[in-house]
Amino acid sequence: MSNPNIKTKVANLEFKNPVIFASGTSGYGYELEKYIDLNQIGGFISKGIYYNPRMGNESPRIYETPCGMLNAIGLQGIGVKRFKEEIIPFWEKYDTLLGVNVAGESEEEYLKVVEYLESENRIDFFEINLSCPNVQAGGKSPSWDPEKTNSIIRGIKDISKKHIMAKLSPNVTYIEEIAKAAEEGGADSISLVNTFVGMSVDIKTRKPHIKNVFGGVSGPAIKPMAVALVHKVFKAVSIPVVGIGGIVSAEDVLEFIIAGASAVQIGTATIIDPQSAIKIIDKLPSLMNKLSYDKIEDLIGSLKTGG
Amino acid sequence: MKGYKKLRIIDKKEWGSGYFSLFFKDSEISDSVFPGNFFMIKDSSLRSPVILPRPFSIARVFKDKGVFEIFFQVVGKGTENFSKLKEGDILEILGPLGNNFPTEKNKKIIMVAGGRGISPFLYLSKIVEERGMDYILIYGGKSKDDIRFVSYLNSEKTIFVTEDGSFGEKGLVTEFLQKGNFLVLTCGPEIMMKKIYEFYKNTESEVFVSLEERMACGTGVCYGCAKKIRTEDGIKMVRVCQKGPVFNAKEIVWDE
Ligand SMILES: Cc1cc2nc3c(=O)[nH]c(=O)nc-3n(C[C@H](O)[C@H](O)[C@H](O)COP(=O)(O)OP(=O)(O)OC[C@H]3O[C@@H](n4cnc5c(N)ncnc54)[C@H](O)[C@@H]3O)c2cc1C
Ligand SMILES: Cc1cc2nc3c(=O)[nH]c(=O)nc-3n(C[C@H](O)[C@H](O)[C@H](O)COP(=O)(O)O)c2cc1C
Ligand code: FES
Repeated sequence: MSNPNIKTKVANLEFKNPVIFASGTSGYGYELEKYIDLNQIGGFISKGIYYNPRMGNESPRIYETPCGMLNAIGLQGIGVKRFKEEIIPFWEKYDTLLGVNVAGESEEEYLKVVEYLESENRIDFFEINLSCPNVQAGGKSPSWDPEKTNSIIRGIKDISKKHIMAKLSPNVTYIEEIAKAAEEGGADSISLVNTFVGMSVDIKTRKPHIKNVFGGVSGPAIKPMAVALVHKVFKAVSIPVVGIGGIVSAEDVLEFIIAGASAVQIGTATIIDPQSAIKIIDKLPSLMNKLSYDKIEDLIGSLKTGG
Repeated sequence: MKGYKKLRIIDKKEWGSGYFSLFFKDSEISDSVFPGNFFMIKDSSLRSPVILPRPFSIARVFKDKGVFEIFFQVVGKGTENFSKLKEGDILEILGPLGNNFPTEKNKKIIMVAGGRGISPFLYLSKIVEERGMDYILIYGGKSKDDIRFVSYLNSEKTIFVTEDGSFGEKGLVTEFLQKGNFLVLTCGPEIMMKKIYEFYKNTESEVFVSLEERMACGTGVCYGCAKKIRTEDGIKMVRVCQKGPVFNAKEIVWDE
């Protein structure tokens, strides 16, 4: 039996394997230390971080929906100062690629977060969470608007030498346009999808199941939509794409890669079981052997259509 | 590294009125668990209609046999699925997780349980009894159908209370509280725990409550289980699965 090569590259970032921990479903990393060896994972993306600490939304914040879950955490976070003082030192003992998920209520805030953390060598890349509601724009998120997406990414590229991954929302009509705007702004890669807007009602009390009324849907329920959007964006841009949405198995990982993803992120699966990603990584080589695939990199975007 | 353990259901009890117990054998767990701790439990097989794990408190522990019990009420799809499982079926269990009820305060302990909130006090009452500590347990429910474990609990130390008077005393558990300097431990509906906190608010007694916030991960990664808590740095949304589930009642910012 051959030993398949599961390494992959996303532009300049070289991942040990294609499995990255998604933002907001893996805490800051230290929570997982007692369950997994953080050196075994491909990469890790921290919880979304604003410049200042944030309380987040009132509870209930989560509810299980068919084959997935609804969340409205409201980006509770510790802010950049504590992130630098407490979280970066934690990651020094691991060599796994580390990304910081950057949030902002305004264009300026995204820049302030990046500026504050830019000199930290332990941070390998910034993932820009373009789905944050923009306070000045009445809650509209930059990821719905190609111009805003372009100017935020451009602004960040002007002040940062690190790899910039633009994370897109699926809640748009024409995702290719947003992806291209991020590419033109200078993004090094694109990750998608963030959660789909959703809602769930308790028919007895007539109250929404989560306090915020609206939330984001994640988990296996969104996988087919996510695969479709990844494939569309892969066709539309020439920078690498990182696939996210409902991945719970090694089979799901390969599906995204064949559709065009250079790497994937695992979110809800880690909520279900902190060891999900490790189990998936362990299974990839034998699955690839079974299918006679020897390199992840050969599979990226290898979808066969027609004929 | 430790993760979810696959454990076989070695016994099941149907109490009626939607209450069930499942028993598992694992001496590592039965030796280390303490009342207040909880487990995340999931069913990864195709029969399960839900994908997220659910949190449950430790109920009885039979240390000599390496056996522990989960006592639950059917309220939705996850608990309904668990109620249909049989002896021999396998569930995945993570834990024990979380902190536990304090006991060493050199004060008489008053435990107050509402309905399925009896779970942690089943084992705790045995532990404090073995240690020769003074305690009483006030155990309330809507009617006799909500009162279980009657023969297991020490009848001399337990006050049974039902709202309709169909078993034990008639009324609400809060009507049977005594003023004084006690260590009060409670688990049950939040409204009941809040009333107990208010009853003891300006007394020497300390009140500890076990919160049942909705949880998705139980491991601290999702921030889904946050509750407003007063901390040294002001009011914070604190993860119940990490800092709790047991809190000093005066730290909690109670809902109006
Ligand atoms: C630390 C902790 C310990 C617990 N211990 C026990 C126990 O020993 N025995 C027991 O019967 N239950 C216990 N619970 C509550 C139990 O976890 C929920 O009843 C269960 O998750 C509901 O799952 P479901 O799929 O059946 O319901 P769902 O379909 O998820 O929800 C059905 C209804 O129950 C409500 N609900 C969901 N989760 C919770 C929750 N965590 N607390 C209160 N209401 C909820 C929902 O809002 C909804 O109205 C505990 C909860 C926590 C946080
Ligand atoms: C509880 C929770 C919190 C999340 N927080 C963030 C966040 O802070 N920043 C972000 O970009 N995405 C966040 N996401 C979205 C995930 O990173 C991911 O894009 C999405 O859940 C889809 O992947 P999945 O189906 O594998 O979970 C969050 C998702 C969940 C469920
Ligand atoms: S349940 Fe996920 S952080 Fe507590």
